[in-house]
Amino acid sequence: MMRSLPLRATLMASISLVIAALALVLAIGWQANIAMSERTLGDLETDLAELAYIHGRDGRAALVAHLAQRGAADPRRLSSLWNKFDGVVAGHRALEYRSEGDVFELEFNGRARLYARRGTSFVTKPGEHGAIEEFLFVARDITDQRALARRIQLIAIGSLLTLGAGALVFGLLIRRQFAVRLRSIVEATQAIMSGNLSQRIPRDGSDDEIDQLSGQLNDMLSRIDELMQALREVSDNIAHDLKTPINRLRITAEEALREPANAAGHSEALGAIIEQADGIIQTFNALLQIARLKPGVHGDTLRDDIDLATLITDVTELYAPVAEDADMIIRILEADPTPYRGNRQLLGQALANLIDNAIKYSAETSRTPGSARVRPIDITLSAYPHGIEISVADHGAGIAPEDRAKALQRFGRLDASRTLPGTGLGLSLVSAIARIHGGALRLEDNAPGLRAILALPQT
Amino acid sequence: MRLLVIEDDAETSSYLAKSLRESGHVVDVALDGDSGLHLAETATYDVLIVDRMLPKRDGLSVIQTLRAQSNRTPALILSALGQVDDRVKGLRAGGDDYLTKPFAFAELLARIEVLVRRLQPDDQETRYTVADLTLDRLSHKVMRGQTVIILQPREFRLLEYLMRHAGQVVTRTMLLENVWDYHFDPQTNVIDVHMSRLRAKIDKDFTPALIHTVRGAGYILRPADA
Repeated sequence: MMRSLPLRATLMASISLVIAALALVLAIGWQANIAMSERTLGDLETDLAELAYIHGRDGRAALVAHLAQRGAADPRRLSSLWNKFDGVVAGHRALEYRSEGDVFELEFNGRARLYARRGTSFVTKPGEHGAIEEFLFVARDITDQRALARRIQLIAIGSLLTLGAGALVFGLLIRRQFAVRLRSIVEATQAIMSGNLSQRIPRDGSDDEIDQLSGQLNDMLSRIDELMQALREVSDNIAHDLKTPINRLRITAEEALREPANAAGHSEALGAIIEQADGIIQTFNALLQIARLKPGVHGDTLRDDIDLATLITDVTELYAPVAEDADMIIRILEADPTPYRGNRQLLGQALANLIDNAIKYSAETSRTPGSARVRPIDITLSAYPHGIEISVADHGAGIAPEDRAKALQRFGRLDASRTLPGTGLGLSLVSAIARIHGGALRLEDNAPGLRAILALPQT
Repeated sequence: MRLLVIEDDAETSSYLAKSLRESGHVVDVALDGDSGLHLAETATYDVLIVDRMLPKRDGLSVIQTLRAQSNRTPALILSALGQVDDRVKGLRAGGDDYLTKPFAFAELLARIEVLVRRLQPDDQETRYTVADLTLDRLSHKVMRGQTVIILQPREFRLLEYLMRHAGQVVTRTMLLENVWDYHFDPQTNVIDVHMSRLRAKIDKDFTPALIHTVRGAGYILRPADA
């Protein structure tokens, strides 16, 4: 139990509290005792002065009479007259000379504690011993004072015990509360360790330290989860979409083997195998690239100063012959010089993929009978106060609204296009490139056709 | 040509060495960064082929150290890191070319040949001639025999690159990198389409054809089947 942090903390706090309280109580008791003793001593001085005054005024006989009368009047105020030959001459018998000194304590009647003081001495007239010195003794009952001191002690001990017990209970309560709070964290982490990365630590909304820590841990978990997901996706995709072409490659090789050795078909098959291997490498590279294009880690690579209009012209020029071969034409409808800070290679690739897609997916429809004219692919660069949009619009079959999200996923090739060449990674790569530039890829209806919009923030 | 391959994967390095020897090169192999650096410092090579991740001393550091000693031997970096920033870092460290693994051997070979040729001064010629095809870099004039051929600016640069490396295989990626300055993978064979347009202008009405397709590698511009 001592390994419980909150319990230890509470105990430490209570121990220091107890020590402080103890010191306080003791100091108060001490001071009270001193004050009371001083008062008693003062009282004794007054008594002595009074008795000495009576002796001086009325003589020894009057003093003796006064002492006897006084003892009867107040049993708590004792006084006596003493000499070394006769002992106590008058007053209380017990109040006699002591070797301790001028001030001493004595028991009286077995009960009362008395505080005594040896007082004024005076020489009496000569008797059978000649001239002798007699002393006045006075005493006060200090039972009350002692009782008070004891009571203070008792209070001190009592409150210390209460404080200690309270601290222990308090510590246990805090520990329990802590344990409840921590248990949810422990349970969550155990679930996470056993593989359920979607588990989150419950928050109680109090926004205290533990709640904040839970929030932080949750954010961290989300990040880890995302990364894990990405990693899993990559491995799933590799497993799924690289197996098919690798298998195809294997089949090509096997078929070639079945032919007689050195047949003309062999070199053809080998050529095909190399081409297929290149395709696999291409897919593999695209996969890795998407996996690595994560926001936040590309600060340095996004610093090319480029002109988006030039970029569009360049990439359009690169694809123009391909479009022409497919009876299409790429038109740049609007592209004013637009300085931009980003990565020329990545943005070029994004644009290339969009144009490539537009050509590929509108090629079939553009050749439908009755549509003799060349179908255009329209590129527009528009600058808005909040950002820049590059739109690539084709007049092909388009993508149904419900399929657009799927089209952005890795390998999200819609069934309709499975037969076309390509890795199926084009749009998700564009999307990843848009994201690391702080932008997004939107797919809209061009009625007919698809309008892909690469939205980038102003730099 | 004398080549130094610094590659820690024994299988890759022996495959590279064997293939490069078959292509007529003399090849030394180092299996870690330190011994690679030592070899590069003591012997003279035409091209260094340096893997990026090496034991003892990484590939970039090998190249940086050599460059600091004013050793200008062309270096080609091989790397599994193919991101744009990886490439920039590699070239900034003093690498002359950057090839991402996995790669086709034909691609590597083509790039090595170009790197070797880069050292030779005839690079600065103002006029290239292959058989009866001439290209004047100053007047931007292209002629096949007595016929003037009109080329688009990009076609001109494409032909210029092919002619500068006449007799050498140039791959599609090399063309995309050097003519268009793009390092990405265009998926569709855009380069092939540009090449077929260029061929239509250069070769269609003339014999012999000068531009040849090299299967699994790229293109080569050379007179007939010489």
